[in-house]
Amino acid sequence: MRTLKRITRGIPGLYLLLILLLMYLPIVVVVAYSFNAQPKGLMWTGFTTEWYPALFQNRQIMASFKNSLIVAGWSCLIAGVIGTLGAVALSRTKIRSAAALETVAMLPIMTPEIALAMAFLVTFSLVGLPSGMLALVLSHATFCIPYILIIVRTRLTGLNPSYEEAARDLGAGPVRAFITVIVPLIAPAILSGVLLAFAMSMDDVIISFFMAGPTSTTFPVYVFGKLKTDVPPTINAMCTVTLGVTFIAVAASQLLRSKGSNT
Amino acid sequence: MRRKPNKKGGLLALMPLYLWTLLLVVFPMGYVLVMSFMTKNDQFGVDFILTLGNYIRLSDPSNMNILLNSLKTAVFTTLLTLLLGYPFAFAMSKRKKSQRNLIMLLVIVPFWTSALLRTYGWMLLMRSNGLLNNVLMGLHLTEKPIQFLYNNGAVLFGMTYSLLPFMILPLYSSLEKLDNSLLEASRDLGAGRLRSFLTITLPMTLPGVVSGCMLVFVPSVGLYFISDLMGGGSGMVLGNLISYYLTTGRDWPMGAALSMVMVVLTFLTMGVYRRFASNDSLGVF
Amino acid sequence: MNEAPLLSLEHLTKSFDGNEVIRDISLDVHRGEFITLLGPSGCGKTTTLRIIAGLTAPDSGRVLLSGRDVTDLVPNKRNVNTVFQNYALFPHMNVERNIGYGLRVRGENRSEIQKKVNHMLELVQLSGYGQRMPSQLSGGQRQRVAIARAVVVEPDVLLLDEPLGALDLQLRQQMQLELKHLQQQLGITFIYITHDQEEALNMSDRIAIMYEGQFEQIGTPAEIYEYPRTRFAAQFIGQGSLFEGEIQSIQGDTCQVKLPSGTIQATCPPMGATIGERVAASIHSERIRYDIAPQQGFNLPAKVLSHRFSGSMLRTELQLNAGETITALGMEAVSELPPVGSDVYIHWLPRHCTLIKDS
Repeated sequence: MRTLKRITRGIPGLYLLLILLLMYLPIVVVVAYSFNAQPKGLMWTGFTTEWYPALFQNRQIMASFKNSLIVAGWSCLIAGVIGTLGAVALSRTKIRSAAALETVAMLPIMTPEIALAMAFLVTFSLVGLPSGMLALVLSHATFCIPYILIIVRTRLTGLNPSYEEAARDLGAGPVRAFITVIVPLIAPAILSGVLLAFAMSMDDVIISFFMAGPTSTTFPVYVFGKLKTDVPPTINAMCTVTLGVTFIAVAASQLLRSKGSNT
Repeated sequence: MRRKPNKKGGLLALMPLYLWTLLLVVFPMGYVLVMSFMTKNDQFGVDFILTLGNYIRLSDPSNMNILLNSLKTAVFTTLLTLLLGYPFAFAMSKRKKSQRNLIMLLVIVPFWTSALLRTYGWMLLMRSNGLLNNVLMGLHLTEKPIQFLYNNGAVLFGMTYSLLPFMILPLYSSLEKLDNSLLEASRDLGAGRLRSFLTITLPMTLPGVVSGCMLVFVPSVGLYFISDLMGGGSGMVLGNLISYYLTTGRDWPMGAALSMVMVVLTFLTMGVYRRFASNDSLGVF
Repeated sequence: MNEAPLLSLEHLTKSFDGNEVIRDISLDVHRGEFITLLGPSGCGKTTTLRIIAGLTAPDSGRVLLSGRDVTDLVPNKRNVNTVFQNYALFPHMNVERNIGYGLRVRGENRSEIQKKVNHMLELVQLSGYGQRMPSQLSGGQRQRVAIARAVVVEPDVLLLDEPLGALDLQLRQQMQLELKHLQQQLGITFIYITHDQEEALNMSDRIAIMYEGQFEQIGTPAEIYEYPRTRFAAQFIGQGSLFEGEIQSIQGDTCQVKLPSGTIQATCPPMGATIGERVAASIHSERIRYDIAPQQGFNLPAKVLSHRFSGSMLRTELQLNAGETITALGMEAVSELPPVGSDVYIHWLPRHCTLIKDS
C-alpha cells in the first residue's frame, strides 16, 4: 500500500518534531506566562507586559542579577586567560605529566556539582574565606576553565602547523608569529569558549547556593529559593530574561565554533 | 644566535593552569577525602579524629534507602533517555545536511541553558492548577486535577527531560560516523531492514550508546534540585542527601563521605567511558 | 663555478623515532642555480628542506650559508624562505597582507611595502587581486601568492616543497615554465623538491637524486639521463632496461658485456673496468634498435612479442633468449616493422649504454 509507506516514511520526521516541541515546551510556557496578566493562575487572563518593568523595579531581583553578571564576567575572563594559555601550552608541551594535568583540570565538569560545591565549601572555610563574591568568582572560574580548555585545545589540534612555520620562515620571532598568526585563528574558539563559560556561570545553581553570601546572592539561587516558597508574579519575566541572555550567549558560541573550524 | 629550546616558554605558559588546578581542584578534593574520615563536633565544625564511622553509617537504612533510590533513578533515567534518544538520533542522522545542522543547534542550545528554569517550566505545566490540568478539565477528560507532580514519576520525568540531550549528542555523533555503504552491503546481501539495523547499526554505534549512558548516569544522582522541585519530598537522590548534611544536617564529614561515593562513581564511569569511547565520540564538543 | 658555494650541507643525519631518515648527505649549492632534490616519497627530501629552512634540526652535520654556520639558527634569522606544499597562506589575511607579511616583520615602511607588493603581484600576474582572501583564489593563484610572499623579501635561497603537486597536468606544465622564468629573472637560488622526474629534468640546472636518505647521484639533467651512476638512478630516470652481466672484453672505451641472453656492447665506466667484473648495463628504451638482419657490432637475439601504439610512441615488447622481456620505444609506423612473432636482432650504439658497477 503506497499510502501506508508514505505515512510510515513520515514517522521519523514526526518523532523529531515531537521531541523538539517537548524540549522547548517548558521554555515557551515560561515565556508565554511572563506576559500573562494573572501568572499564578493558569488562566490566560490577558496579555500584559507589566511584569517586565516591575522586574526592573524589584531591588532584590536586580541586585541578584547584577551579582550574577559580575560573577559571570570575572569568571569567564579569568577562565579565558588561564584556559587559553593552558590550552596553548598543553598542545605544544613535550612534558609527559602534561596529560595528567589536562585530566585533572577537566575534573570540575566531570564531577557532580554538589561534590564540587562541598569541596569549595570546606576548603574556603579552612582558609577563612567567607561566602561571597570572591568565593563565587573563584569557584565559578574553576568550573569555567575546562570549557575553554576543551574548545581552544580542539581548535589548536585542528590548526595546520604550517601557518606558524610560514610565519617563522618569513622572519617572525616565536612571539610575533603567535600573536599575528595563531591568535587571530583561534580567536573565534576563545570567544566561543568564553561565551559558553558565561552561560554556565549565569545558570549555575548548586555551587552558587553554597558559595553565595547574604548580600551576594546570584539570580538562579534567588529563583530557586523563591520557587520553593512564594512565587512572585514577576518570576516568569525574570526567567524569560535569563533564558534570553543565556540563549543568545550559547547560540553565538555555537555559531562561532562552526564558522571557524575549517582551516 | 643559538636556538633556545622552547621548553622554558612552554613551562611558563603552563604555570597558571597548573597552579590554579593545584590550589582549586586538587587540594579541595583531597581535603574532602581527608574530611570523610573525620568526626564532626558540635559546633558545625570538625574534629581531627580519624574514623571510618562515616562510611559505616552509609549502610544505615535512612542513607541506604536514598542511595538505592538514587541508583534506581539513575538507571531508569538512563534507560528512558536511551529509549527516547536513540530513535531521535537515528531520525536526525537520516536528514539532509542542512536540516541536521539546524536540529543540532536546536538540541544544543537548550542543552546548555538552565536546567533549573526549564524544570520550572514543567512545574508550571504540571501543577494541580497548571496548564495541563486546565486543558484536561476543560476538555472534560477528567473531573479533578491529576497529581502529576510530587512523586517519583515526576522526578524521573524531569531528569529524563533535562538529560536527554546528553544522550542524543553522543548517539548522533556515533550514528553520523557510520558508513552508509556498510548498510547497503548488508541489504545487498539479503538482510532486511530490521536485521541490518540489529547486526550492523546497533553494534557499530555501541560506543555512542556507552558514552551517552555514562553522561546521563552520573549527573542524574547529582541534579538534586530537579528531585527537589518536581518531587517535593519524594524521589530524593544522593545530591539531596549531601545537601542535607551540608546544611540542616550539620555533618560535614558525613557529607564528605557521600561526596567521595559520588566522586568514586564518577571515576568509575569515566574509566568505563575511556575504555569504550574514543576521544571525541562525545559529540558534545 | 669558481666562487664558493652559497649553501653547503655537510654530512647531515637525521632520525625520527629510531628511523634513519637522512644518512650522511652533503651538497654544495651555487648562487643562482636551480637545483632539484628528486626522489620517491619517503626518501628524505622534505626533511632535508626543513633542515635547510631551520624548521627541523639535524642530528649531526652542518648547514653553511655564505660560509656562516647556521645549523642552530632559528628559521626567522636565516635568509632562506620556503614555499610550502599546501601554500600555508594565512587565511585571515588578504593577498596583499599575506605577501607583505615578511616585509612588515622587517619593519619596512608602508609605502615601500605597498610598492614591493604591487611589483610582486605584477610579476606573478595577479595584479588587482590584492584585496582577495585566500579562500577566494584557485589552486594555481594561491600557489603564485605563496611564491610572491616568499620572494618579496629577497632571500638568498628559495625552497620549494613540491609546489606543483596539487595542480592538474596542464596548469602544472604552464607553471613549470613560469617558475623557471621567474627564477632566471630574479636570479634567486632555487632548491626545488619533487618526485616527478620529468619536472626535474625540465626545470633544473642540476639534479640530486635522493633515495632512502642518501644522494644517489648529483649532476645536470643530461648527465643523469645519459650516465646514471647507480642502479636506482638508472631505474628511476626515464624508461629503460637494466641488464646484469659480466665484462667479457675491453676495447678502448667500449666494453663487451656477457649477459645470460647474449653479448652486448656498452661504454666502459669512467673509473675503469676489469675483465670478469660484474656490472649492470643501463639503456633507455628509445635507444634500443632491432632488425631482422644482423648488424655490425653486437647482436642480441630476440623475438617480437607485441606492438602497442600509444599516441606519439610505439612500444614494442621483445623477449630475449633467457626469457626476459624488454621494451623498445620507436616512432616508426607499425607497417614498417617486423611483425609479431618474428625473430630479430637487438642492437644499439655503445655510447648509449652505461655500465654501473656494484659498489
